[in-house]
Amino acid sequence: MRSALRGWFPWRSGARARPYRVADGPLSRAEIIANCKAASADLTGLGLTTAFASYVRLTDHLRRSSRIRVLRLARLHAESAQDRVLVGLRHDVDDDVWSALRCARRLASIGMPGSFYLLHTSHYYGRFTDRRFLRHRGLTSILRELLVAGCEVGLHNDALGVYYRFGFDGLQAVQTELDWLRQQGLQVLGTTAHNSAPVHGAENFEVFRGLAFADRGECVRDGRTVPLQGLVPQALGLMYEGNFPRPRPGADPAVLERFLAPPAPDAIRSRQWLESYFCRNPTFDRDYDASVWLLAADAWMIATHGQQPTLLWPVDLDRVLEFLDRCAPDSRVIFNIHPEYLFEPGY
Amino acid sequence: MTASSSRRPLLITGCARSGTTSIATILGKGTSVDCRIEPAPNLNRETRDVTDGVYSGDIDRLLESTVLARVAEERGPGRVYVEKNVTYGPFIERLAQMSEVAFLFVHRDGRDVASSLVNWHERLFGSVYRECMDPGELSEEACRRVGSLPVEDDASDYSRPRPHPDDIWFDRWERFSRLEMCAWYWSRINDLMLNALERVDAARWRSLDYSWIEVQDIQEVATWMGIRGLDGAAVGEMLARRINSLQDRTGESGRFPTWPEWDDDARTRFDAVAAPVMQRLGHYPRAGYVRFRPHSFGTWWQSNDKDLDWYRWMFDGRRAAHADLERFVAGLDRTEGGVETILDVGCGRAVGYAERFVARRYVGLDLSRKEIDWCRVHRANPRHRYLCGDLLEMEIDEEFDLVFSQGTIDNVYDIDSYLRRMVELSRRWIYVTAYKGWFPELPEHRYVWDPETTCYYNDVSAPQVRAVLAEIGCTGISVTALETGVDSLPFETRITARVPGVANGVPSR
Repeated sequence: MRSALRGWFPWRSGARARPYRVADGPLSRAEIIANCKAASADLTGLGLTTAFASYVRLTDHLRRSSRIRVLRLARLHAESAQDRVLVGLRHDVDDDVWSALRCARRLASIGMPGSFYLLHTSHYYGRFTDRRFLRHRGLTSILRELLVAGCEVGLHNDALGVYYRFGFDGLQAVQTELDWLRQQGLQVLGTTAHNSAPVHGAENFEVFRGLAFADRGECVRDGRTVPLQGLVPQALGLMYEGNFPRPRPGADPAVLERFLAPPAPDAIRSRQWLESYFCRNPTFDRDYDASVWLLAADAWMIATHGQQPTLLWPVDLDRVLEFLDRCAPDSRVIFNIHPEYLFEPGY
Repeated sequence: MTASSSRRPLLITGCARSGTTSIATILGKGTSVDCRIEPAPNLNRETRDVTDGVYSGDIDRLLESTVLARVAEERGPGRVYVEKNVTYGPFIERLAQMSEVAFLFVHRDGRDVASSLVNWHERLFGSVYRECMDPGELSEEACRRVGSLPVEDDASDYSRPRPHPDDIWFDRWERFSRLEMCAWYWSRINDLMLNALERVDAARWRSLDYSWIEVQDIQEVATWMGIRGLDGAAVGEMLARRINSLQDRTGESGRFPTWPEWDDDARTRFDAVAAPVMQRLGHYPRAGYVRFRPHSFGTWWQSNDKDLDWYRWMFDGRRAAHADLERFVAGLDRTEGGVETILDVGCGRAVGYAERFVARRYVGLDLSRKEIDWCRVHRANPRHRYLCGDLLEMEIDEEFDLVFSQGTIDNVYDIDSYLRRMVELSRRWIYVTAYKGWFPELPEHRYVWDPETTCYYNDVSAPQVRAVLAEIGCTGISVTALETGVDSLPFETRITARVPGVANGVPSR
């Protein structure tokens, strides 16, 4: 069933997902950066961005704490925790690769690992036309900057977005972009899923074999069906998916239906939605102990996972640092920073 | 030559790319030498952690288990242990206290070192100051190496210092070019090492300038250390081979130019960061030194289309400063017998002052020919004179009761020389304001060159101004904040001083 669906897009009977083909896109590095600044300036206008000093303070705290060891996500589960709290700094680069570079450089200056996931459907990466994907030519120099900064670079996987928003083969897109990133000299070992299941009806990581809720093989949204589990991580040279998902075997249909209902605008900052997504998620659990997400101006969410999940929202950075200091040894905490929230006008 | 250093273990240190590997390799050819170059553990992480105040271990224990353990290893009689590392900086004093080691501090012209580091980055490693905005024009080899070295595993780049919040370049570091970062590293690490060594018994360390190293210099070090068997011809051959240079390592020379080929931008950026230590180490003259004057310095001021209205606008924007000078002159008129002759340095179109000093001998000096020509036509006054030129380069055949400069010192290429020259030309007083702000705790001037307007935009260090004026014998030195009444920039810097040889307002020299 899965292989039969691969490369096909039956959202209308007999319709085919267009093959994912790539050509050079028009934007230079400078134009990409200008667009990123403009996008993040909009967030600043909404009062959602945080001074970069917060990131400096966070990373300084992590550096100074003898109880904490920061690891790139590729190593988070490979290392023994011993008496330390293991921390991963995940950066989902949705909109602003300029601020992501600033984060990467900050980490480089203190020798701290961080993991940056580039969103292949974002404006800074490229754009779709009717026939193909135009990958911006200026992206290569940005990748070179990330390479020199020494951070981990991965793909912010939006396979379902490629299918549903653009009508191209999302699985091919993921494969192609992984190959291309590696051709730029980057060692890509992981991906993180963009968006959340309520957006498209499935998590983007469900395109990987073994990571789908209830072992499902397809996702249907608004009468359109796309294939899941069509990619084999090992065959793609992938070691991990950054949510470290443990798919649940099934769920009450009514609960699932409520959970998968398209989210309201700005749901990401709603306590109800965050609890639903992080604490009562019927589709997957996470194979680590706590998630800390920056979601607005000095507004962080702390969610603990496992048997008795908890949620703190919103909390400021002081509370986040207190939380870190209270974490039990041998626990794993993943921060998720969307760099656009750290944009500073004038930088 | 101090015999007491003979047979002591020798630690060779200095900024990376200064010749430390070269001299260690050469000394290692001596018949009585056990030489190790960067033996592990080499303290890469610890040197940075200690410098940054984040090291939580016991430093004595660290040194005992690393450097001093190697030093203490059993060796045959008469043998000398030589070890090279560039990481000893924060440990020098403690190493001296805990052992009998001697130190050889190797330094080299910072311009050569900075160029070498940039080439090292671009051609070979790709990992020198990895946070730099410009990744550089990396060779395939450099790309391959940096791509396979995660930042957390890169102890070498980690070992290089970064500015602390009290460093004058802390706020600008993110935007530094790699050349500036390397210049800062060279400056910072040499300063750190020299400060530490100067607190160690002078018989236990030597400084060696590797910029123009000769066989005799090496032989002197060998003699000092009791190292035998170094053949002069062999030393000469090794020096000629330029051990551990890019050429030696890769067979190619770098693409980043050597400093005589640098453009104004590179030279000004380097000097802004490293000139004080260049002087300290003798790579720039210690006496009579005038900072580099960019070739294009002032050209924009010669060619811009600014007119009288613009100079009036400039004048009106700093009314508080002009009123303050007026009060200052009135005070001198009252208490010190009057101010007859005045030099205005950076007069522009003499707005305000041509009228204010209409009955006095007033000389306006400016770099811009077009402004001086305009003044000569439109400010005709037999008591007044207008001169075109650079204060630091021209002869002026008069002395003045007061030499003043309103908001020009911010734009000059050498603040200290500018002050000294003002003092030279004054019989009694100097008066200076700096419009860019008030920097009471800035430990040294911060120079920033702007190629667009071909001048500097300096932050003037109040402590450094006091020190310079005191050093040349000024009295009554006052360096204070001047209230502007402008919210966006509430304070400027106001400098007044009585020049040497003046008592009670009467020149005595």
